[in-house]
Amino acid sequence: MSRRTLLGGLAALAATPAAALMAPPLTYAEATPGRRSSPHPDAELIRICAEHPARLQAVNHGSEEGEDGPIWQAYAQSRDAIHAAVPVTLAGVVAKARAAKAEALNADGTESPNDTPAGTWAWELLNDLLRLEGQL
Amino acid sequence: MSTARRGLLGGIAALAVSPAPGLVLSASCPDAEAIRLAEGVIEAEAACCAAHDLPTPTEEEEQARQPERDRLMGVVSERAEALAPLPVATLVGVLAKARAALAVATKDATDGEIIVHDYAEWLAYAALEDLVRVAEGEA
Repeated sequence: MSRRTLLGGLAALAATPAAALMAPPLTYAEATPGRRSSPHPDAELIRICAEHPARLQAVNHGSEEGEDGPIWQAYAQSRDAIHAAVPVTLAGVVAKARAAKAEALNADGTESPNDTPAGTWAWELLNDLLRLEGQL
Repeated sequence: MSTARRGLLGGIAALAVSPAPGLVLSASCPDAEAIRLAEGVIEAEAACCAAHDLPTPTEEEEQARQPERDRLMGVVSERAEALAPLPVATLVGVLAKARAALAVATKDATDGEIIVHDYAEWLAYAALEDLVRVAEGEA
């Protein structure tokens, strides 16, 4: 058995604006950024999630040491923003799931969420998914 | 029942066993097997929690009931491990797997931390992978 802190998923639900929850439901086909002409309720989250793998790669393959440099700071800012965000659409949930898979990815192509943000994000995502269930 | 297992009856479990408004499972659903397995996980977890909730006034009764509790935990683990690798093809299947994962996740009411069995983590990440796979298949 492992112990893992579940960060904030349920508490965040109460802070979700009602207007955001009223956003039109999306199909999976719409879970791809750029397919809607009007501003998407999760546009910022989707953008950050799309950029996150590159920031992670920069940390993993860069020469920067420690956590004070700009490469790490850019990664940490992105990671923390993804964690703090509460998706209000399925597209947002899927975007965060893709970012989680990037975090869990090993050099050999396998995925291990343990001891990465992906382990926590997986639980957040399941709660998000069930919260949004009525709109799917 | 341990403090951690009691915590399962709180917010996480309430989400996990909520009905599925708007989603109707048809007989031809390609994820029927996964959904059946997910329901089996939730049922087994409920039985396991009920067994842990039984009062045990004496040490002898506590010891006498432990084998049955262990057996029920084994059933939960066995079903969860069967469900995790089973790929799903629809959002209904993803949601079923998500409910099962949350049902077996355990919240420690004393310090706010989550105590998660390995099989719960496998289920949670498997549901995440299924979600992305289904999304990419329909994009």
